Amino acid sequence: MPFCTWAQVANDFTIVQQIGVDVTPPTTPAFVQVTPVASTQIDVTWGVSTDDVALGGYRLFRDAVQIATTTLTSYSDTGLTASTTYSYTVEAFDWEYRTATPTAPVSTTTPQLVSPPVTSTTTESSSGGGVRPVLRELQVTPETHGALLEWETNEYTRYTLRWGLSTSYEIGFVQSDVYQREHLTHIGELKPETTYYYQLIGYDANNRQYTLEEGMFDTLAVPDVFPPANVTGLSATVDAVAVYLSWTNPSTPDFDKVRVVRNHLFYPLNLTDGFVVYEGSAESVYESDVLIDHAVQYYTVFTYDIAGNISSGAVVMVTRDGFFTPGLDSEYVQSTPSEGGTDVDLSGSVATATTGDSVADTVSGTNLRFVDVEFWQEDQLLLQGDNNVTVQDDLPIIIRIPAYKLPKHLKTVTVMLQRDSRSGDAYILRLNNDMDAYEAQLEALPEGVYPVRFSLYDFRLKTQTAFSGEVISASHKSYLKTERESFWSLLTAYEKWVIYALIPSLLFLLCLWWFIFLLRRRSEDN
Amino acid sequence: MRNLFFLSGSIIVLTLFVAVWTSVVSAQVMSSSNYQIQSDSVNFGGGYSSSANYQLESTAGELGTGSSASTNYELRAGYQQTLESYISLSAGSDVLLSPSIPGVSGGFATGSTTFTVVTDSLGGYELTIESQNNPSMQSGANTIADYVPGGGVPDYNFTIGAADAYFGFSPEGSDVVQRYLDNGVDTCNESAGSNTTDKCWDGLSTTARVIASGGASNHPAGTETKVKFQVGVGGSVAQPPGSYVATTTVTAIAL
Repeated sequence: MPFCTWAQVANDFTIVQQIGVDVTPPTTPAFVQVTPVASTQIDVTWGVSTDDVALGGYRLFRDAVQIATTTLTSYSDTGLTASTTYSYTVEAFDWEYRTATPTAPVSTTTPQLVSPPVTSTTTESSSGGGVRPVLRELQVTPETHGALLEWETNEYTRYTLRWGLSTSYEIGFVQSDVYQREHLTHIGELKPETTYYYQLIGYDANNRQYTLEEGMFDTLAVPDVFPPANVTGLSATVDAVAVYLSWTNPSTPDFDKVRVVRNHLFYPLNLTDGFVVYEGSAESVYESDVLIDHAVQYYTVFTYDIAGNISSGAVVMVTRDGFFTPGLDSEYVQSTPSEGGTDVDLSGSVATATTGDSVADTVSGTNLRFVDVEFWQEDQLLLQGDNNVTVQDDLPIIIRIPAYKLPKHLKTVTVMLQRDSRSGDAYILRLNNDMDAYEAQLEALPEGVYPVRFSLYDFRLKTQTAFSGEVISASHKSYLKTERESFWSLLTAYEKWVIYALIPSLLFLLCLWWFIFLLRRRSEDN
Repeated sequence: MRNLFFLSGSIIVLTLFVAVWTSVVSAQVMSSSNYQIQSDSVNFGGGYSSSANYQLESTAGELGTGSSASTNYELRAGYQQTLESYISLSAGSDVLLSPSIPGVSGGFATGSTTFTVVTDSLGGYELTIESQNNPSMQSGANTIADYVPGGGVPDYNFTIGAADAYFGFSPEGSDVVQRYLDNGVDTCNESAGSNTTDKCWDGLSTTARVIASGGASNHPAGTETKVKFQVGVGGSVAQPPGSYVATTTVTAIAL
């Protein structure tokens, strides 16, 4: 049998890319212009340079000494001496600091000082001649934690701005050394919804000062970006083909209204995902003949706050036989839309996990358990056990599942909070504004134990899965006790052993040191 | 006399037998849908033998052996002479991508080199490309990432984000493999696609990737494959200045 030899040839070569490599210096600025604007300041402007790759900036020299590096084409040279001649040159450089030929020197002389500065900070003075600076336009733009002030003066001025909670302007000040006609400055670190007073002082070219403006502004309130709590007690009464929905609005002070949305395919997941049945602040709505064309209707009640934030939604399903709360009653997810408008039956693929157990991977890519759910109160993540969490009974609750723990094709997550053996509230967990978690907002829960059940609907795999746990709502005092117990329960046996062993050892060492100390002192006394 | 007659008769009969047999069963290349016999031989002896360290393939009594050549063809007749296929790869020139890219504002630079593969292998050839470094483009400690097409197949267009800097390649030629064939609109890896210019961009890696393949001998004309390279630096990338070099290996294998 003949054997076969493979022939091969190879060739190495290089591919080279130059980044920012520049061998040609930039052009020399076309001109340099110097303007003495005050006895202590000269403004220098120059023409634009160009470079074949990228211009880096300009170096400015005063009397052959570099005084600035900038990417702009102007500079205000301050701190100068009156009646003194200064000479300026500009040198452009490129990205690799390859320099152009410097410009020819251009000289000018600062003005003579007319009169000594006025020391008063509040009185105006024009003694000594010259034109008094006039404020042409002042615009104050308040922010939540600051304010932006912009103004113009009829002549070159520099300024001092002072501010405070009273006309003593006791909080702070900002000063500029640069003489300009257009000014802009920002005040920071202010409190929201607070009145501040300010005083603007201008200095003319001879350093005489004038009070240009005194005024006040109110900082803005902190914007409300938190969704309101959902409604509670959402239930329905069916009369043949008519539906009567009722609920209780949240008691939060910024509650504005509700919107009830209906869809015959699945729970409306947002404000426009179906027919708008009602919008207002009432706590019930009646729909006649709504079950004629469709035997099943899904409702979601969204709440609005006065800032326009919207809750995740409370849900209920209504059939001609009555209403169903997802997670509380037997899972009655009859159908969901698919491409082509046909219905897909999800009812036969419900996977139910026992309390605290993980979802048995029936939702692709997930192995969710109760401990994967986060419970927040007042921006604090609550400690939780394997299958329960303790919350304070006087604070609203945010239930949160990080988005990365859920498959991308997941459509809906609902949580049912059981209030007694026969009733409960179900809520949608909606993707938050940061797009990093599915969240639902609940009102504060009265003291008690509430079974909760999370349902995940995976429309791509046509599966539905669930897992359960308990929310224990406790008074503030017992909550703290529970929190301590929860902390202890989180420690491993090894960590507990270390704590048990460490404390007596430290005490022993302390006693030993004290004993030695006493012995030495006694021997010294003897 | 009788012995001489017998000897002469035997030679004549043997010669006639060989002549008739070789005319019916001549040495040739044979193939089926799955296999190809690169070479066979007509002979009277030899065979395959082996020990722990060596293998021997020998022939004896081969007919019509030897080398001869004309302007366009070269003949190497005889089993041992045709064991190895001939393949050549024209040396690709070094590539200087143009223009220089400002490190501040970013931009694109392109360049290309062409390889010609000539082989007399009746099974054709494969042309592969690989980089010697990861990532390919390096300048001291600074690097430019290799282009990563989305979805596992080359991107129809070379696209980068404002915060990205990538180095990619795109092969062109009549023997380019399916991965670099496109539908002329927006998709690459088309089985019956075309090889549109400047489309189907891929990233180099230290693993050899097949870019062209021929299924038959192309001797003596050979087949050209042009490889285009491109670097893109996004506007918000502060790519450190320098001379970035990617040392690359192209290999042609006779099949």
